[in-house]
Amino acid sequence: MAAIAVPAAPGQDVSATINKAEYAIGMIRGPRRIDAINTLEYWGTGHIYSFGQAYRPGGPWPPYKVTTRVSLSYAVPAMRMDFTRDNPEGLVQGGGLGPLAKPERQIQVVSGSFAWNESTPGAGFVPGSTATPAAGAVRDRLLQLWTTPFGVLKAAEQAGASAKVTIDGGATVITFPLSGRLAGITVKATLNGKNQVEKVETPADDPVLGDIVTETTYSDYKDLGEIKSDVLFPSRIVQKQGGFPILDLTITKADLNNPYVVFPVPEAVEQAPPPAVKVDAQKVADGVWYLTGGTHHSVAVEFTNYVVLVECPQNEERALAVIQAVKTTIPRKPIRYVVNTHHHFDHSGGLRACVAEGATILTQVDNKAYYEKVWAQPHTLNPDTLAKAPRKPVIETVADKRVLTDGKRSLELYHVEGSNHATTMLIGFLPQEKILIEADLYNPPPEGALSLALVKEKNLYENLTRLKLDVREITPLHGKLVTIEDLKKAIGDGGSR
Amino acid sequence: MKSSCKKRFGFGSCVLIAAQVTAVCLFPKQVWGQAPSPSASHSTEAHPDLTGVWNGATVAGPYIKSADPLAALLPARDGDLVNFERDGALIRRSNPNKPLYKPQYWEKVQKLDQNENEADPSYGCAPGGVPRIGPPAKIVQTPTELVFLYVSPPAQGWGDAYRVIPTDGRAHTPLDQLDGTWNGESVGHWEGDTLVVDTIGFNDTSWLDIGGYFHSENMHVIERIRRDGDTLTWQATVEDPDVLLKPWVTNPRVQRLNPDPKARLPESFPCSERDLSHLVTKEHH
Repeated sequence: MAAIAVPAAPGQDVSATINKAEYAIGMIRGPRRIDAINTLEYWGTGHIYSFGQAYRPGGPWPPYKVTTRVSLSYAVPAMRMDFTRDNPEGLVQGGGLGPLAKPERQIQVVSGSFAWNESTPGAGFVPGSTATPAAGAVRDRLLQLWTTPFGVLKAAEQAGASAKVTIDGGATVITFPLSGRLAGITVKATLNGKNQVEKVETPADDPVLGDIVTETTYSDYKDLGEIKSDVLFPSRIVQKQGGFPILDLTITKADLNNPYVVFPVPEAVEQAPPPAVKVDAQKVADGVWYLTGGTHHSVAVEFTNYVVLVECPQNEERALAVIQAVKTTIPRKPIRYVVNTHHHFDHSGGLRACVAEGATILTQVDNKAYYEKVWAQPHTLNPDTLAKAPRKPVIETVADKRVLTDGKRSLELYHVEGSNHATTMLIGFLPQEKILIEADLYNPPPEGALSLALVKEKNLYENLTRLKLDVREITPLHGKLVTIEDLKKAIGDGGSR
Repeated sequence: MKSSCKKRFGFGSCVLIAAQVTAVCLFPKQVWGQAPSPSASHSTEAHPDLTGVWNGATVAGPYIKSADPLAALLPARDGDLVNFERDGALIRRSNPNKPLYKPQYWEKVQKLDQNENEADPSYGCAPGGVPRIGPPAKIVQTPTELVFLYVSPPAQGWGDAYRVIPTDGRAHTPLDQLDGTWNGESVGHWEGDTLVVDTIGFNDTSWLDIGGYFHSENMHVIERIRRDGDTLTWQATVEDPDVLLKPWVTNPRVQRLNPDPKARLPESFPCSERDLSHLVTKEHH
């Protein structure tokens, strides 16, 4: 039976409830009972999971081992998440840029209205370092900050009269709206019997899943400081999104004595122009265009009466830009088919826009039921074109092979066997042009960059051999145009390592 | 500002000192005596007269609830003696105004802070140094110089200190001819009604404040002191391009004029470090 939320008992003051929770974890200090927590750091180990990168459609997000150090300041507000991913136990099945040839460090920072990624802490102020703007991540990272146990109570206090207290299943629940850059998000914080923040739930929009809930649970509060402060911090943090864990951390240490942590914004980040969606159309053969300009590419293939678009990636914004580029490049021909290489969200996030455009989706047979299910979910937080003008998706499937042809040109679609990346992986092949279209299996790195573990590349080559495809050129949906010789060389190099 | 009385004076003394601190906050007139009227000082006519004893209660005023006898003695959560140190350490470090060090020094600052009991020169009874020493407790102003007199806060071990600041227009001694000292070499000038004290020639031993805020010998400090009626506002800007990404401006500190015309400066508590060898944790004090 579902628990029913009821208003708190008369007289239960919202401010007093928040104050009690703050006191319970040691935020309220001194005779003036002030909130004394401004900065903190914590270290943890556990697993981080790649959201939207399941091995099978509908499956859990793939795990990577992680060690992390998080520094944050509520006063700025700012947060630096420094984590190192690894898969020491062997192959990770699924996406997320794995399998990793070596531990991969990422440093993600948000400070006020700026977000960026650092090659080393303080990048931009250290010679030889790189600070890469990540303006699109500001909101998500600030939400991480304000949903920490201390952050959520500070934010609840800030909400003032907008905060409400209810009793839900016997637990005290504080519900309140966020403001500023996080306006529009309502937070639900559940307290445990000791008045400690036990669970924080926030709604989120995902291009594939629609309305989802990010649920973070905090448990086993302790004073985890080397220098004792009586500030309690959860020794376990578990975060779920889309029903599966995205983070599971055991906190090994926390410095809760307002440590020295700073977040200067590099000039290159401050002055970076706002990110723009850009699509460049490059003709790679008669009637074949390579649509680049971002991190995820597409390929448009012109047939006599229609266009086939391979990949509608990322999200509606990117998808609409790609559709527009196709209309400009190949005018007066409709996009009849959109080929979806696999179910990972960065490659399927634009499909709903293509459905709204009237295209038929061609995908691997195991994706059909999944797409039909998730696309029926509500998209109320950020309604996309399909949500505003609903239409039934037309999905056609590929089991092992399918050929699209108008008698002059053919596009062959094949299921990739034995992929460690996704069970539903398709590749496209233009036999006349000898052009291969593939996603994620071979992402040609910039010159001099270190190749990954090459498991996916070897699997791709095995499939090309099995299928006896006479490939000359490759149009990867990440990276740059290459030839089959480049793939062979990469595999050869990898084999010698 | 740091409170480290437990280390130097033992816990019983700590309670006593804290009580005195509280008393100072609550009853400054009775404790500090009377200062001469500022209008009676000998000063230049063109500039504000800063002469006086500036050790009255801070403008923020007393905040201890006297209804709770224990809370009236110790600034502690729930009046609990055990919470005294931890609350104080946490609150003192909650100041969001932090000097911005170059990234290569971030870990050093953290380590110094964590090992404060051993690393902070103040714990070894060393002088506070400029700018940590803050605003003077007494100023004597003449047409060509000002004398700043300092009394160590009860919980610090800095001892009594003085600075003589010429305002006769002289320039600094070249830096390479100066031996680095705790308070450096100061020269003053007026910018409107504000006294500007420019100081170079430091050692690299003192800290800017608690928190491991070290500096280099090339530090340059500019103090601005302004009188508004019976209050004196002091603020310092620290320039140290060797270690800081940008100048650090301290929080302003406001002192009240002691209205007692007979006010005298008390003697600083003596400091004799003898607790360090007995400490078994890194807990801040």
